[in-house]
This record gives sequence, structure tokens and C-alpha cells, in this order.
Amino acid sequence: MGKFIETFWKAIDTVMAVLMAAMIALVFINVVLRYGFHSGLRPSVELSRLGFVWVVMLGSVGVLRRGEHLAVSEFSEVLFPALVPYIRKVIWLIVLVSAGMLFWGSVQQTIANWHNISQLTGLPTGLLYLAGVISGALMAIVAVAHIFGPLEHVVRDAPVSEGEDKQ
Amino acid sequence: ATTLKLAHAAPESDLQQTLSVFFKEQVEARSNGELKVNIFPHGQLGSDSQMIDGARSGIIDIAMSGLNNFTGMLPEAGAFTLPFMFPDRESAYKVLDGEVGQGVSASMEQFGLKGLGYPENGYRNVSNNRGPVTTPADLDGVRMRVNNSKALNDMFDLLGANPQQIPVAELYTALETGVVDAQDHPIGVVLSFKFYEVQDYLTLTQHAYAPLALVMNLDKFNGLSEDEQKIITEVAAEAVAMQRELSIEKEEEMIAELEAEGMKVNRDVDSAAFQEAVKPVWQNFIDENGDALVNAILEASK
Amino acid sequence: MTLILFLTVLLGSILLGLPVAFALLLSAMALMVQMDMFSANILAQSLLNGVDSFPLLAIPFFLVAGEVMSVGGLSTRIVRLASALLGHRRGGLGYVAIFTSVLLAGLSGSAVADAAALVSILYPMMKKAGYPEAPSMGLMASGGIIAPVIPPSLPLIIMGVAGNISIAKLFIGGIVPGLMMGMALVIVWSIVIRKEDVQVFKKADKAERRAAFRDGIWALFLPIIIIGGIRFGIFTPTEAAVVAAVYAIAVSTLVYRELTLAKFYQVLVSAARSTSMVMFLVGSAMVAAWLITVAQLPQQLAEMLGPLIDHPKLLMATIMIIVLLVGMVMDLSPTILILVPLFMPIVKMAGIDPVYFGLVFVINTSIGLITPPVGTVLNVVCGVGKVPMSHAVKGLLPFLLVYLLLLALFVAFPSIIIVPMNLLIG
Ligand code: NA
Ligand code: NA
Repeated sequence: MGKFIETFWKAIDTVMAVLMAAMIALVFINVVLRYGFHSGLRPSVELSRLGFVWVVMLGSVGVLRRGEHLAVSEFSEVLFPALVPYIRKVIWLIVLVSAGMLFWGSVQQTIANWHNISQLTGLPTGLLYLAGVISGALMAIVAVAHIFGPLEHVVRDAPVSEGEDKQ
Repeated sequence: ATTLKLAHAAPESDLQQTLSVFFKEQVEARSNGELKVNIFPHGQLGSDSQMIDGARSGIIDIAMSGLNNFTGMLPEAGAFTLPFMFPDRESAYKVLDGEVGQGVSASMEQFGLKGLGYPENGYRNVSNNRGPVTTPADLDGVRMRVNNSKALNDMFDLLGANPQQIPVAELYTALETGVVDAQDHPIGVVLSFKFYEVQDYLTLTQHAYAPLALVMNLDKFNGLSEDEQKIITEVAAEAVAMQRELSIEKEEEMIAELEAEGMKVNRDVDSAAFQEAVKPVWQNFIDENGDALVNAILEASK
Repeated sequence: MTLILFLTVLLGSILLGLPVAFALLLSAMALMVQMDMFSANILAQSLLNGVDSFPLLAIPFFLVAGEVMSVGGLSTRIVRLASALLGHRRGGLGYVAIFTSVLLAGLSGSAVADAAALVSILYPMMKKAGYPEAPSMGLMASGGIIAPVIPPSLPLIIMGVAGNISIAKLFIGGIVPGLMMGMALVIVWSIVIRKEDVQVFKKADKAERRAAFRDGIWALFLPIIIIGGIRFGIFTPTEAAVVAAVYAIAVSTLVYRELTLAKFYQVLVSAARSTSMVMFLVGSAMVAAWLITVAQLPQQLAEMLGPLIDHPKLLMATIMIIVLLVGMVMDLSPTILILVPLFMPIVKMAGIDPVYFGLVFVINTSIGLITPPVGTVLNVVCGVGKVPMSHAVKGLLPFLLVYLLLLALFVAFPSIIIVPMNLLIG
């Protein structure tokens, strides 16, 4: 089971990497075509935007799972460290509610827009919202795992994590 | 009292705002304050597609957006915005207000929308930096920004231009630096987005009519009392009529303003040559969506 | 009243440690409840449409370019070039750090990445040469925050989208204030280092300098390509990010031969993750912004700040003090995303140039990256250099002061920014 989960997250990383490479290629080829060949790829802008949304929504799950979303934990950890494990349960509960709303709203929009077809790509605009369905569901699972997992106590002098905000 | 959120993407100087204010004032007055309308201009509640999605799901009550933005759901409605479909505004009004337009409004209901009417953005015209556009050859090789309509992309492709996808928000800069040298929009947009600062020539090609659609969330509409529904539909019809009138009146004023800003305006267009050149666009459209609506429009606008 | 509810939920949950993105969603939900319109559709639609933006696509592309530069050997060569030119002066490594900061700023859009590169490459050299710990740390941190001001810049892109301001103009307008920040650092460093006894390096001879230049020239082309390409209409700012990424990939595989496929895969994954973090925040902010608009909070704020509309400089100063305070505890992107939609309507009413406003705002929030208690660049510099924060803050103070002075100048004399910007835009 653990191994399956590991493979699953790695597969998501691979999907993101492939989408990123494809987006770079699409936009770059469009610039080259415009100047070198007086033409362009009509769907390139819409397709790269769609790829972007999928990268962001899949990536957000990984960021949540690794605890890398930007947060200010200093205050509670200094002021009331004993309460922090319980505050964290509440935090995961809020994450669960948000993810659940993202999931449910996206399901409705995916269905509503499945027959709404983009003129330039021929793809349903529901694909945009489908990214929210997958992302919301996975985030909710991560949140549930933390809510029913062990209490997370404050670890003093934790090293600065690499993944913090990269402006 | 019920409060309705009315959203559109145009700036407050645009006639869409004039229409919205009229709608708000009249609806509030005639319902004795039972209905209230809050206006959110300038895309405050999202892009066109987001506003339409919002009106469908009911988080926005009323939205106003170009009819071309509905063609993902109603591909056949693209017929209204085909190049050179309406020779003059009267035939456009006749078709949109008549059976054909009612039919489109009716098919909006399966997507959760109540069609309230078709205001207008006027005709789309070409602006560029190279020179007046008199014949199709004048667009040959021009890098041109085109919107997400397949028909218009096909049209400018056929005319030898190089259509490029650039979001409206980035278009001013793209024209200024020269990423593209041409664009097409209704006159009001050229003025409100200040494209005249970065474009030398405006040609009144009038190559496509640009109807707007005023739509309301269907459930919200059906949830109103009969009297309130009547107020909404009546005021909407009056608002649309008023907006169209102002649109015609204002167009010459706006052209004069653009000339005063230094744009060279060209009215000498070989329309017949353009119509001949873009014939395949109609054929493409008919191949994909059938000819029912095209024929109905041609029949009705006679 | 609604404004207070919104701010209380937002700040309260952030201080309890809720990730900022979810704090934005929570305060949006609070507004939904307050206005009696609780709906999953609002959240899903605003979040996904907020992410679905072409200009913001520049973020992953510039991140790829930046990471390719650091794993592909471009960043190291920039430091080598700066050392060959300035390493022999008194306090020379400090000037190398400043010069490198400005060059890196022209290459990358990320303050954190630049500061991390500076500290990890230069700090060990400075320590060995007997440079005092605290001022050196302070210099690295304050050099890092030039990155968001000089183009390319992720915060300027986010500002352009949040405030509906031309990104190209923000980019061009950032050049002069960014260079001024570098010059301010040079002045402060020369004063700070005067009394210190530090090792001076042997002057690089002509051949060494030429070799360093030849080796580094490829990296130096990048800012020219980006700024020139945008200025002369070869591509849009979004496309510039892609061109920068492709260029960095080409140089580090074909010229330096240091980028392998495995490394490139890691770059893509890591850039995708950093992008997601920033963009999920953007999406959440759009959800909050949607409800802020419907609740008409900007109008409430405008009423409070209304008396200042006739005094643009006073209004600007007030806003900048608010931003400075918020920047002490909050990171750069959320500060922009939350405050800009609130302030923009009043700023426009007061007749303040939006591009100027956007630039000063970004400079201000960049300073927030090095102010305690919460400063991401400060954290990274201390983490990578293994120095306690209190220590680094002491060394940071003189640089922070000169930055605040610069900020005050920009507020008092807007033409410092506006005049050169209009000249460059032409
Ligand atoms: Na930069
Ligand atoms: Na700070």
C-alpha cells in the first residue's frame, strides 16, 4: 500500500513535468512561427493555459502534502506551544472544508461545461474545472489523513525548509 | 427585497454601463424597491466566461457579454457573428428581436439562462499601423491580434494576415511594442482601451456585427413573482432599445473623437471584394454547424 | 463592519498558523455566511478562473529559467566574473555581492533564489577572508531583494494582474529604482566596512578578467534578450519568460554542458511545485477578491481614506506605512494579492500613476522580505548561512534604514521613478 502511494505521487510529478515541458514548447514554437514563418499555433495560448491550471492544481496537492504552503507558525508556536497540536487539527479541518468546497463546486462546473466546447481547441471547457475536481478530492484525502493521524507536536529549532516561498 | 447582481466587463464609460444604470433605476422604481440591482462593471466579478458560468450557476444574477462568448454552448449562434452576415443594423435588429433571436434565447434555457435581449457592441473594424485597408490585399502579412472566434481567425487567415492570440488586457502593450501591428474591435473598445494611442489607422471594414447578450439566471428569474418577471423583461427590452439607439448616435461621435486623437479613419472599403474573399468561412461554418440558422437569418433579414 | 469581520478572520487565522491561502478561503467563507450566499460554486469558479491566466504563465517559465541557471552553471559564472572585476578592492567581496545581486536580479525573478545563490556561493569566501558575520549577512539579504524590482520579476507580474497594470511598463519602470537600491547598498557597505580589517584579494590580471568575461558573457546576454525583446516587440512579457527558459536550457546544455536530463526533470518538478504554491495563493486571493467586491469593501475603505484623496502624497505615505506594517508579518505575494485590489480604486481616484504605485508597492513588500519577525529572504539567508536571525538582523539594520530612506524619497518625489520610466518607454 505504502509503495503504491509512493508511486502515485511520483506519477503526478511526472505528469507535471511533462505538462511544463509541453507548455514551454507550445509558447516557444508560437514565437518562432510568428517571426520566422508568419504563422502561429492557433490553440497554443488556450492549451498552455489549460496545462498551467492542471500543473497548479496537481502541484497544490503535493505542496499541501509536504506542508509547504506559506504559513506563519511562529506566533502560536511561541505563545502557546502546548495548544499547537490541537490547533493543527482545526487547521486540517478548515483545509478539509475548503477542499470539499473546491471539489463539489468543480464537480458541478465540470458537468455544466462538458458540452461547452472551445472554438479554438475543440476541447470542453469543463476540463478546466476537472482539475479542481481531482485536486479538491486529493486535498481532502490528505486532510482526512491528518485529522485522524497522531497529534503533531511542535519541534523546536526545525531547520529552514527548502521549499518555503520562492518569490 | 431581492438584490440582483448585474455584471459586465466594460469600463464605466461604456454604453453597457449606461444600459445597466437605466436597468437598475427602472427596475428599482417600478418594483417600488422590492427589487434592487447592484452593478459590477469592468470585469469586477470575472472574465466573460467566468461571468457566464456565474450566471448559469446563480452566483451572479444577470450578466452582459458578447454573444460570441456563448458559442461554446450554442455553436450555431456563431452565425450572428459570421463576417459580413448583416449588411446593416436594421436587419440585425430584425433578426435578433424576431423568431430567430427568440429561438437562441430559448435554447439558452437548457444551460440555465434566461435571455433578456441583445444589446450591441456595434460592428468590428480593423485598426493597424501600416495604412488604410481598402482591399483584402492590404491585410496581407500583417501580424494581427484576433479574438477566440474561429470564424474571425479563419477570415483573417484567408486574407493573408497572421492571426495571433493575445489577451485583451495585454493588447495595448503588444500594439505599442509591435508584437502585433493590427487588431479588430468595435469602435467603443478602441476608444476605451486607448488603442488610438498606439494605432495610426482605423478602417471602417464593418466586417462583423457584434451583438451582446443580456442574460439572467433562469432559476432566479422563475423564482420571481409574475409582476416582477414582467418588470424585468419590460425594462430589459427598453434598455436594449435605448442602448442600440445611443450606440448608433455615439458611433459617429466616437469616430470623430478618434480622428481628433490623430487616427486616420478610412471609409473607402471594397466590401464586395472582402465578402468574396471570406466566402469559405461561411462554408466552413455551415459544414460544422449546419445551414439552418444561416438560412433563417438570410431569410429574415430580407 | 464587514471590513472588520474580513480582516479579523484573515489575520486571526494566519496568526494561528493556518496557511495563508486557506486563511483567504476561510475569510471568503466568512463573507459568504455574512452575506447569506454560501456556495461551493463561488469558491471553485473564482479559484480556477483565477489560476487560468495567460500573463501568470510567466511564473513557471521564469522559475524554470532561474533554476536552470543555478544547476546549469550560469549563476556561478556570474559570481566569478564579478570577483574578477571587483575582488581586489577594500571590502571587495561585498561589492562583488552587490554587483552580483544586480546582475542576478536582471536574470531571475525570485528574491529567495537570488539570496540563496549569493549566500551559498559568496558567504563561505567572505568568512574565510575575515569579513564580519553580521554585516555580510545583512548585505546578502538586502542584495537579494533587488531581484523583484529589476525585471524579470514574479512580484511585478502578480502586481500587473492584481492591479490591472501593464506588466511591460512595470518591468521597464523597475530598472532605475532597482539600480538605485544597488547604489544605496554600495554607499552603506563602504561606510560599514571602513573600520573592518579584511583580507584583500590579489587583483585579477587582464587575461583572468577576459577569461571570466568570456565565460560569463552567455549569462549576461539573458537580461539583454529579456528587456530588449519586450521593449522592441519581439515578444510579450509572458513569452519573454519562455524565451529566457529556452535560452538558459540551450546555454547550459550546449555551451556549459552541465545540464543533464535528470537535472532538467528535477528543475521542472521543482518549478512546478513553487508555481503551485504561488498560484494556489493567487487563486485563493481571487476567491476572497470576488467576495470583497460583492461586499463592497473597497467602498468602505475608500470612505475611511476618502479625506486623503485630495492629497495624493499623503495617501501614498499612509498606504506605504500600512504595507510596511503588513510586510513585517506577511509574505510578498499575499500582501500584493490582498491589498492591491482594495487600494487600487482609491489610488486611481487620487490621480496616482498606477505603474508608479505598483513599483513602489513592490519595493515596499520586497523590503518586507527582510524585516523581522517574518521575512522569507531573511529566513533563507540565515538558514543557508547557519547564522541566528537576531545576529543577522543587527547587521541588516543599516541597509534596512537606507532602503526605508529610498522608499520615503520615492513617495515624496514620484518623478524619481516616473521620469526615467517614461524616457525608457519612449
Ligand atoms: Na529580477
Ligand atoms: Na517581514
